[in-house]
Amino acid sequence: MIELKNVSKHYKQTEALKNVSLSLKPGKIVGILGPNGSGKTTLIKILNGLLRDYSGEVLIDNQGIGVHSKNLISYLPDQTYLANWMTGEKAIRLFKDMYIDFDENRMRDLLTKLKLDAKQSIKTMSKGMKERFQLALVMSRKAKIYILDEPIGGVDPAARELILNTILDNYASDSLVIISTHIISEIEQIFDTVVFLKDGEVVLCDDVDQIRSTHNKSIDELFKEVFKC
Amino acid sequence: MLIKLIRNDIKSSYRELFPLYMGLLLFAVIAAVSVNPEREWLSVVTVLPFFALFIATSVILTLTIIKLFTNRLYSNEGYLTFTLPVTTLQTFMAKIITASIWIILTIAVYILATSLFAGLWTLLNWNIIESEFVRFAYIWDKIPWQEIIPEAIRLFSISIPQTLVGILYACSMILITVVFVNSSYVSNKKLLIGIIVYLVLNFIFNNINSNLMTDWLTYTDLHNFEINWLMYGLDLLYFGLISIGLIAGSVWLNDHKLELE
Repeated sequence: MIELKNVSKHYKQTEALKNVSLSLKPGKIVGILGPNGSGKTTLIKILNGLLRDYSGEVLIDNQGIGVHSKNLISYLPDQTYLANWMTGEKAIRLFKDMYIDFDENRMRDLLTKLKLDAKQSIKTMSKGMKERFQLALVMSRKAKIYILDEPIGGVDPAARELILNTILDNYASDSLVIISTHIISEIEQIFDTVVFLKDGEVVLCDDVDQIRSTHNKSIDELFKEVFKC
Repeated sequence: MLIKLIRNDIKSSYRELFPLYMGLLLFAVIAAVSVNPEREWLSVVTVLPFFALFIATSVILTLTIIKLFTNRLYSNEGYLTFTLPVTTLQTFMAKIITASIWIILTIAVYILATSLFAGLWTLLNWNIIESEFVRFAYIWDKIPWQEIIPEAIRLFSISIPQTLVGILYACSMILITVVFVNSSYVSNKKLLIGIIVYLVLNFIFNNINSNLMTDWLTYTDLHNFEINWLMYGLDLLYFGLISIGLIAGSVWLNDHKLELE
């Protein structure tokens, strides 16, 4: 479903990604793990067409980045992207207009579960409310690929559980879910595959069960070992 | 999809301009009713805000258009804009069409507000101005209205394509500048670089135009003018082709060098 061949990206002198090659199949929950500055967001931005100046090849469903890939991917960035002039209803209308796979009923259910009011303007929502609203929008699509950049970064443990449950309850089992994070302990149980990114390089890409049996360690323990300062 | 994008762009900006349009029309009426030589203080109080609203509308229109091409494309909102399942050309054309709609609507409101003010004031003050009108009637009668009116209509008609191409050129200039400063070619001092790029490009394109082509409109006297149709066509073609080139360049630059922060 997603193929990356020798993808490199540099910003001036900094090399953010170095010859990254990955092959990610549908029906898996993949964790892109690495400390801050390891290249996770750069990789995700490339997959979503937000960074276009890179070398190497990126194929999504055997096609390059474009309208087709954007139709397949439901993307949650690590920042709020809804405009302040919008109300929740207007954001829902926009998603309904733009994505044929958007399920409005699921959205209404999620709003109730996440204790959000669609009539409220985005401007008056707190940061946490905006993040939950975006998560609801993203998870209301019946997408083939979900890419979630740091969905539990910067939220309290209670909210983390709510967010993780929202993700797990709403993705289709035949879709590919990519979650980037540097908080491993609370999320490692949900991963089928993990990719360790260190200084822009893939240092590990394997199934979680395989890693646990080979290294006899949890993902969190292995992460701490690989990324220890 | 293009219509949906335009609808969303209009929704994002109408709140800034519509109150000003309403204010202009309202103050046109208030100013027309209150302007009276016998109540000068009241005339000042109502006419000043009326003219201030003209200036404010122009300023807000400029800011709205700049915001349409900057904040709505390349700030946090870009994370949504550029992940919608549409082509870059559709995204950019939606912005250009929305900006054009606002410019044309603003011009229309200016004309309407001015006509409303002048028409209503003349109607309400006819008893005062009638004597002045009679005094200057001999001049009025000497004005060759039968020549002027058709010529004015003709000038207005031929200026419409020029205005439309002018709007397209202005929008595509803003677009290429904004796209360039948000590409991987520019990593800091984006505002300064943007202003320099805009001024340099504008200088080059206008200089080529003024050096290669002569004016398409020449006045022989106040109400007679001649149109050089070849130059008129070339002028339209020149700025039309440059605008298309700038839009195509913006699409290429965005699709190959976009670097959303």
